[in-house]
Amino acid sequence: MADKGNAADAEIREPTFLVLAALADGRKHGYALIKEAAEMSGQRVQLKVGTLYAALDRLSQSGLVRSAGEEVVNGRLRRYFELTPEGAEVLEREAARLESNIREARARLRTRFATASAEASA
Amino acid sequence: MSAEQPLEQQYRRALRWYPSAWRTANEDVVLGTLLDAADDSPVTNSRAQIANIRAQAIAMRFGMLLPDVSRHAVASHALAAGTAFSLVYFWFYSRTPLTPSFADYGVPTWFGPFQNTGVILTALWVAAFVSAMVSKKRNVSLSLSLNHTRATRVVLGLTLLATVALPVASALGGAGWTAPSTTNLVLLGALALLAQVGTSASRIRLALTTALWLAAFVTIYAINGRSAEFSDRYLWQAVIAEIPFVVIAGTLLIVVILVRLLAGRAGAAVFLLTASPWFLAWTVASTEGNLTELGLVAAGTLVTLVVLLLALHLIEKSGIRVTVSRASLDSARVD
Repeated sequence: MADKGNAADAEIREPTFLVLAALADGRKHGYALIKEAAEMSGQRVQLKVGTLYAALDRLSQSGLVRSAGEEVVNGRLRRYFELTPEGAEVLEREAARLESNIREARARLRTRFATASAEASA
Repeated sequence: MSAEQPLEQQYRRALRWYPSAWRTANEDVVLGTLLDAADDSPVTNSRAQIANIRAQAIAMRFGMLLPDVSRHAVASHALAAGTAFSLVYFWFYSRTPLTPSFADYGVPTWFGPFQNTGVILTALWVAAFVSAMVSKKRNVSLSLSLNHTRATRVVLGLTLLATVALPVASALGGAGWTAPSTTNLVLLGALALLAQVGTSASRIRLALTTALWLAAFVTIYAINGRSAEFSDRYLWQAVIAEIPFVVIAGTLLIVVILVRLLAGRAGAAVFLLTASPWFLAWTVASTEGNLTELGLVAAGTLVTLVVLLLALHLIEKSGIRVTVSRASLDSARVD
């Protein structure tokens, strides 16, 4: 059963955020999601396959992601996933939250540098 | 294709750790992704993938037995009971400076002004409780691991560590500290462990459960006239350890079966897990290190578990489920 109430309130961890972000521009299969998560994080987040599908199971149960078709490529079955409208909404909200944090951090760093250079020149 | 056969077989073997229903729906897809990943990665990565698959499969099976909601219920209850018990322990035993009766009877203190190092556990339990109460994060279904805030998890981890470390420090001698009794350490250690299997679903429920446990413990101590007792196993010696194993095992058996019928598998698992710290502490308190008695309790527990599993299996196969509808409750009231 979908658990949308919790999903909406949830603070999303980085791997989950990266999976949602990787799906933002269209449907993707499992290995493409792993590669995109690694690429977006500068190779820092290397999702294991089991972890990815556990996350996709949870995201599907939360109604944020859904299956979007299957195909066989080189004898291997691929399942595609896509964001649901709720998933896009949660991703948008999380991105806005992160942007706001970044803006705050940059503003404080500017203040710090300005104070430091003022003290240096005094 | 032939080169990947052994790897495919290894992956398939690892995937067998998942429940069969999940495998039917997902095995080929996950296998395809594993082989895609293996095309780009060295052998060591395949080993890591296999270990990860097995870990996720175990987590899934555990999750099926005890869904998130049940895990949170177990954790919340354990946190409440641990906090309440540690506070009562402090109030009725540790706080020597505040209880002149200890000094009057010439009872020495062994950890500064306190009776023993149990005061450290009380502080840690209270810190864990406060941390859970002020946490903004609740039952996050999106995260990939357990859901307590980092602070609560760290404090509960420290509590567990302290539960093991305090008797070791005491045994090593040195400062001459004494630790809480094994009975209380077993109870608090098991509760600290359970408190980490989930997170507290609601502040109100956590606060209420803690208050109820506090009231129950205080009542038991008050009714039994705690004042002239200097053992920290008072609660166990005076009340719980006196209950015979047959009564405890029989009651547990009946209650678990009833809960299974009324609330399903998850409800029964929650009850069993919630009761387990108390059963462990009862075992330690009633056997008092006597290996023969411990062996008898272990054998009795094994027999009880076998009977319980058989009963649960029969219920599972028969599909019996008792539901109490509002209409039947109303008609019962009218009658």
